[in-house]
Amino acid sequence: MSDTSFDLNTHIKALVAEILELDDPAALKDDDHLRDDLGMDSLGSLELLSRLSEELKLDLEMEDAMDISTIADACSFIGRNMKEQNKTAPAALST
Amino acid sequence: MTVEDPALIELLLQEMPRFLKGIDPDAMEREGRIPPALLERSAEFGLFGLSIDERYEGLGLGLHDCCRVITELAKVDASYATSIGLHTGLGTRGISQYASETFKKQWLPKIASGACIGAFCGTEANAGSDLMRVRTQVRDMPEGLRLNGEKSYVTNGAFAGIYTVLASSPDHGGKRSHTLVMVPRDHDGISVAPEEKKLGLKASSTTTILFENIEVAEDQLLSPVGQGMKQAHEILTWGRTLMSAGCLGVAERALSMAVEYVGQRKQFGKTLSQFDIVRSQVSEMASSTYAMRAIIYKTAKRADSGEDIEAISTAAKVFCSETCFTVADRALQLHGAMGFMEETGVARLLRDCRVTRIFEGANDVLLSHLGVAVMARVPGAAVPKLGAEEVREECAETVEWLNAAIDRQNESVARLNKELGIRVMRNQLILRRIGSAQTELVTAVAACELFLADDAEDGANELDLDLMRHAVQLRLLAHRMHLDSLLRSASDQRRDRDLSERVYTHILA
Repeated sequence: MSDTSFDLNTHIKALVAEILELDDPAALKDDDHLRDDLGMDSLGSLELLSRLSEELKLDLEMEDAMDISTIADACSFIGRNMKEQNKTAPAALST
Repeated sequence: MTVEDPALIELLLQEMPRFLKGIDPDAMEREGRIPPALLERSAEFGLFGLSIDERYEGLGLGLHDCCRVITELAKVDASYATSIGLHTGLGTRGISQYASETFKKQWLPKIASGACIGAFCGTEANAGSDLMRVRTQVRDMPEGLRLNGEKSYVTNGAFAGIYTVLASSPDHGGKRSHTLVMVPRDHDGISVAPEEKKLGLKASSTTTILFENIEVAEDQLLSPVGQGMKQAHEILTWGRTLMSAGCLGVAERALSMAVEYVGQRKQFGKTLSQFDIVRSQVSEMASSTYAMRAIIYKTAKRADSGEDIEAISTAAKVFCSETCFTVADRALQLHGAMGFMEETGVARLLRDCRVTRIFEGANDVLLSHLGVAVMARVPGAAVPKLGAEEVREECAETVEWLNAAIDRQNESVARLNKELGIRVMRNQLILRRIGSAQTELVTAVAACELFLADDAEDGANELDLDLMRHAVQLRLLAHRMHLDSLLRSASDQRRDRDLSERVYTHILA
């Protein structure tokens, strides 16, 4: 089941905020660098992508996670994979 | 990159036996401290300035040479080696690498002279291996930065003159943003709790340190506020490698005690050394010790060349701490009931090295991290094949085995990546297996490389050749076991995990 109201960008920011224990996901900017600006190490990036992989039923390779630097990178990477793998967000994730 | 005078370290090591003569580990353990007179002599001998640059009155040794010194100290007493090793690595690496020039000029000469001993404050009651969860905080206050929190198990805590503190900085990117700061002991607001009572390393100081509203000036920062994890990781790689060097010293001591004992002790009309099972155990201890030396050598040499050693220092720490404990345990077993008695000193070796499997990152956690690095093909975790062309004939077969093992591991990782992709992050058992396989493989390769390097330099002898071959054989057997376990079908692995879960549930009930 899909819902067009799913906002990937907002969802990723919420996950980043949860992993980094930040109070306000809305304060995150698209060009925030996960490591340099937010202090997210490689394990944190992998945790982010593995959560997204599970929630969105996506097949993602570990190596790909290493190329993601910013929140915008994560959004475009996940968006591209959703399209290629023909996946939509489950209703539970939609607003 | 480290450039140093090779004669200096040789001179230091040559003088070491004379310097170490008279140290009484039993008395130190009984008293629960390193005698102040020994600390003073250590300072005169230059042991507090091993890694400090000569510009600041230190000896300017690289990590490899520092490791050689710590190994020698650990052969005599692990508490003493831990104290000097901690000062050399975790305690002062941050200051010598990342402090401002003004701060360096002010503090490093005092550190090198032993007038100011270093300590590292990372662990907290609820943040051990998971350093991202530290709750000691550096916060922006109207009057400037202030540090508050409590740090546990601080080695050298009671007598350190300067602390390197890892704190979270929630005003700069959330609870998981971190800052490294240096705090001189004479700051107002520092309290030191009484010494902890421990299983081993009883002569080393381990305390809780409380920081209350400590003023942090700009030049006390070792990283930009909120961006200290990178520096903390680099310091930890030094700490782990020096700790591994201490493990090597303990293992070499245990080995020499075992060799001496089995040569004297008679049972059933023969010395123990005449029994095959004893000879085989002692051989394994010797080859394992060779492998420890090899992985430390490789790790430290890489650091001295300016390379990132995050992955290899993790493998070295896990391998050396586990192997040291096994070797010490075997030495105790070979001593029979005498080994259980305090008078032989073997029991102390076993007690002293137990904690190395826990501190500086618990081994299970480190293996999972290493597994992640291998799966994600982090460059530092890559194991390049050995060139087979220029090795001497006796090593050709070993190189062939190693290269086949590298191929096998790469195939397994590729298969897992294809089957599980990033979902492997959710499977700690698989990650730990991969980390374990990597540890064995990297150590096996290091053993071969150490022999080839020694051979090229001095013409290694037949004993070294056999030690290397035996070490590689043992490590590759363990490596195969880990990979075979990964190759089992997903349903078999699931069944094992379910069974283990059911047992755990029964126990909880």
